[in-house]
Amino acid sequence: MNKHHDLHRFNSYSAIWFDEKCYGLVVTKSVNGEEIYRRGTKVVYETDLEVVFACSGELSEKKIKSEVARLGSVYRNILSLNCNNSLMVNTVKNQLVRCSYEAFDNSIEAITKAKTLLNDKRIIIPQEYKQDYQQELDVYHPIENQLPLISGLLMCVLQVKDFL
Amino acid sequence: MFKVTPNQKQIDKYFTEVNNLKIVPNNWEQFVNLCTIRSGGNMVKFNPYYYQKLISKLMDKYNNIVVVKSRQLGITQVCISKFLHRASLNTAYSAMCFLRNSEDASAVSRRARQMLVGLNEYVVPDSDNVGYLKLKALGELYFKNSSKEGSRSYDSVLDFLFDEVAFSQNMQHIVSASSPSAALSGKLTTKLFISTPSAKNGYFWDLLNADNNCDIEQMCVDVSEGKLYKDIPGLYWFVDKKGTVKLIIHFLAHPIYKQQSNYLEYRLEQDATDEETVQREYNLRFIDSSVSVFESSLVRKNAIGANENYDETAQYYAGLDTATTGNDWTVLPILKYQNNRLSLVHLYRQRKQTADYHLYHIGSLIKQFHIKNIAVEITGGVGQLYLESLSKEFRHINIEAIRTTGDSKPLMISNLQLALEREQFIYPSNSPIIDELLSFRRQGRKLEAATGKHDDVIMGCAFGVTISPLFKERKRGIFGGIQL
Repeated sequence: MNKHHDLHRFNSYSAIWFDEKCYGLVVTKSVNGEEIYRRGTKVVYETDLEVVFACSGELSEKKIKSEVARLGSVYRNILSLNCNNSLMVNTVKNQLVRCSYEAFDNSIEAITKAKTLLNDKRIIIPQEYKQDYQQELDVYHPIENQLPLISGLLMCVLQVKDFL
Repeated sequence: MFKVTPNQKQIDKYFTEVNNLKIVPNNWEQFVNLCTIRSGGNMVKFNPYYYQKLISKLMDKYNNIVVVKSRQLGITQVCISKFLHRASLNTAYSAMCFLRNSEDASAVSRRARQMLVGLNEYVVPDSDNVGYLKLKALGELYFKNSSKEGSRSYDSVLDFLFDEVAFSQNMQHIVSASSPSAALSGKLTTKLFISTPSAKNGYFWDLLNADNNCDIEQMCVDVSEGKLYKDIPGLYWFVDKKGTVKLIIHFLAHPIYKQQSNYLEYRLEQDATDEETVQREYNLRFIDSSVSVFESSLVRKNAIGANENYDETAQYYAGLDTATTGNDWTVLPILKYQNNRLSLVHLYRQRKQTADYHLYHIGSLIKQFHIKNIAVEITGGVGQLYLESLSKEFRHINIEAIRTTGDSKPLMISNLQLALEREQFIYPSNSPIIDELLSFRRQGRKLEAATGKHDDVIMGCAFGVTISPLFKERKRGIFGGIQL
């Protein structure tokens, strides 16, 4: 757990994605960024994004509650958790202080951004998650084959405002 | 037809007032010191700041000036005062000011009249018209909105002001329609193109970037950060390769605003607006709330194709985007597939014609290019008629119906984007698709052309790309090829 203690240093982004069958929960943090104070306002330009936690599974409210609760206790500094399902947001909210609902539509913006970042090796995926991510990457399709880990990651990527 | 000859008494009456006037100073600074303007809630004598004096000098020396500026710096005021000064010295002077809309035109016209209040011992207005200010026995100024067709039928205009160029859709047409009226004035003409930044496309952006050796956007950032300036911080100008002045004015050049250390935060609170707007309007940032879908570098990189005739070694695909007799275009781009690459080799693009007319020409192209696969958009119903007619006429070719929905449109656009990224889709450098790609944007959750622009060629090509071998066989794995 200690390796994630610096989540607060730059921004962290997390997201939980649902479809009718399964869910994907992803926590990312920005690394190698640059903090600039401009006229008194902090502007953070980020370069790389690292996946610090990822899990997926069948849709079960009990399982999701326990995962999110665990997440809340481990990653206390998480800024917010974006959720793509307006009905599930209340379930998730009780386990975590800051949780918001954000519609997610597999936008080109997110896919293009993620593709560029993945190609440039600017999304760092730890060894433990690599195999799962690679499997999803090979077959992911924004309409015909949405998959939980990639969708969660895309939702995180969408939250990043200022990439260098 | 009869002619009324004015009698001497009338002529004398008209000129008595003029003959008693004082002589207008030749120097602009002395002239504007006599003007009255509204500033900070008071009526004050116009005492120009350094950058305002610079604009006056540049107007005397150069013919074309493009100004990118922060809001509320009094740039329009300077230009109007300069025009008034020139009108006060030359009987034959005529200036034309194009403002964003009619409200702006009347507001600026009122400001010009307000300036004349302090000059009542020197010049007298001879008209009450909001759009036309004539000085008695002297020159004249026109104030027009930018929705009309320029200044056709005006005689020998010397100076032009085009205000808020980035926010007027018609400005390019207005400029081209207006320029001939200054044909005889030659080097005496001054044209000013002024605007706050907007998106990174359109006429103003092109104007600002034309004939430069430098990155104007970066320069704007450097000026706003105080890293780049001439004479005083917040002010920078240079002359481009064609002799046009590019002038960047940031609020740091304003002696009052610059004293406020957190001016942008102050504006944010004052204007009750979002940070993006403040950055754009006051801090010289070219950002737009709607996000460009296609990067301009990508669009230009692929503009290496050419119009071609039929090549029997290649396969041809086409996408049909139909329209009724309105303003939309009926478009059929012909895409040549060779060496795993699509190139736009012919474009049928017509509007305000009957379906029969389109079908006849589309049929000719199908035969000419031996097209085997066509995608026809049937959303809306019009396409269905084309699909049925073409299916009847061309039984041997594969005609695929395509529905554009909230889900399928992003996917087709993303396919097109991927093809561009991989340089697998090229088009001629003069193709209308370039303009459409540059103005195609994401507004909220919708993908569409910017206001006043079209996306018919993009959609036609997207349909063609979708049925082409580039994507037909690769329905899955949009991230295909990426190795972690």
